Amino acid sequence: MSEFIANTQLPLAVGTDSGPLLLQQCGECHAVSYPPRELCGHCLVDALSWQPQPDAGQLLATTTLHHSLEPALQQQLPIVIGSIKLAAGPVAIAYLSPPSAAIGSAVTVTIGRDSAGNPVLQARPTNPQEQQP
Amino acid sequence: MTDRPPNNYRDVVLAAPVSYGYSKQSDKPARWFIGSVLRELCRTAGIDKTAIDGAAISSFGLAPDSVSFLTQHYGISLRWLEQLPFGGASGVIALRRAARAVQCGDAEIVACIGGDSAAAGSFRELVADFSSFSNAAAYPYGAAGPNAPFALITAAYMERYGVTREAFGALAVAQRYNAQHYPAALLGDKPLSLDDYLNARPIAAPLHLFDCVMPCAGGEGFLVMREQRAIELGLAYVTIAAADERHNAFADDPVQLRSGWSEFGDQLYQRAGLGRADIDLVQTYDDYPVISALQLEGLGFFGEGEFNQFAASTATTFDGGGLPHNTSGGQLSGGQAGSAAGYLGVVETLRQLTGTAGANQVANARHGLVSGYGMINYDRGLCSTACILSRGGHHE
Repeated sequence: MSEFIANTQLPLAVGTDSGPLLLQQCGECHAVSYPPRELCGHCLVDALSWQPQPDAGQLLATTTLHHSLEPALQQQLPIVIGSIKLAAGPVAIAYLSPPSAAIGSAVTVTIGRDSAGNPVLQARPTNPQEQQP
Repeated sequence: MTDRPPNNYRDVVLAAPVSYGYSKQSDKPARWFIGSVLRELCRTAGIDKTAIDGAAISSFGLAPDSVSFLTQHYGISLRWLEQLPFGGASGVIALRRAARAVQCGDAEIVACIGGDSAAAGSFRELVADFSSFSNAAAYPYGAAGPNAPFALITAAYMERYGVTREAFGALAVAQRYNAQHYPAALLGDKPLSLDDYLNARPIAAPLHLFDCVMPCAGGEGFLVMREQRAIELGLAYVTIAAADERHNAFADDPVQLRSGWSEFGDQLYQRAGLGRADIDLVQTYDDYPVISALQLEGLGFFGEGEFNQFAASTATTFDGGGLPHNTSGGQLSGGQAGSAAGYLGVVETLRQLTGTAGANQVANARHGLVSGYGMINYDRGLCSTACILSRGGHHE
């Protein structure tokens, strides 16, 4: 399989397959920023550091991908991803597994690794009974 | 943000619509398409290139060049030059910038051009490194390019309002019909029925094949000048009744189900002195049908959440007597020529309002609305624009 290098910038310790949700947070105004950036997206101060965040989120939408531009990912199709309103504030796109959560349902978000070893956001239904049949 | 309206665009006109070189693939660089449009603009207007003293140019494919280098490629000397990296919002932004330059005397004739090529593999290269946010927070999740965020927006819009695939399909099928009457549309030779649309293979569900544009090569352009100059040159022209733009509107909405159109739409009609019923044709930026729906909704052609009813009750073909929409087939049936797609709506409206459209001519078109949308960052497109153009008085 060809390699797929995705620079998500998410912090995940070398040698570990999963970890808690860490996002950039401002030491000045405490706003959480995502996607990663250089200055606080709220107060523009240079005081961001990666801090643990609540792992809760609400599923805004999902899509089942049947097409990928990267050969390394094409073998895994279909791939299910979702957009999530994080309790910490920002909206994030994450892999969704199991893939059958309903829009509006609660999800739990952690940092894991994709098949190529890149650190990525992964979401799973918080209450499995909210899964669609 | 201030409520003070911008100045009007009195005395400034658009003329010389050019669409050029559409093809499914090309080994020629973007420079070839932009330069070819420049040549055709001069030919259409009957002017020498030395008469052009300003240019506003958009392209995704200029690297390593910027537009300043193009002046030497084309042997032109300018006193006003803009590079407008706003994707599908570039055309309306170009006319706004160019109109002010002409109005204020910084330039006399401005060439506004969008052009891009389509070499094998170039689309992947573009979307794999589109923006820092996209690179970090969208592309890693399946590497689906713009299909992914737009599938998510489509899914949320369908869920929120109960919008059906049939409603999106109605727009796509009407555009294909329009494309069948516009010879340059790359998919104009392939009929599309609603069944074809509904039964197409899934790409990024709920998006299926005919929800997605086909990347292609091509160029679009028009000239901006004073009305008096257009009259002297004997050119048919249109005037700018109103125009506006927003960047990152409604930033706190978790899903982009509206954008700047909802913010400036009412004022746009007010400044134009027109109502929605006065609009004879609309061009939206149709990278996906849902985005056309958001523009039509935000600009008041139907109420919030009423897209199903609009699609079921309104003919959007050029000759259907309803609301002619994307009258040359748009990108969905014509192809998406990179940044040229952001100029397509302006150029097609210019053809329509000057009565030079050909077989897809809308009868007695007086006022056209052009809407733009561009620059998907990771979860939404950040730029939204619209303008109302009106038929000029001296070409009949």
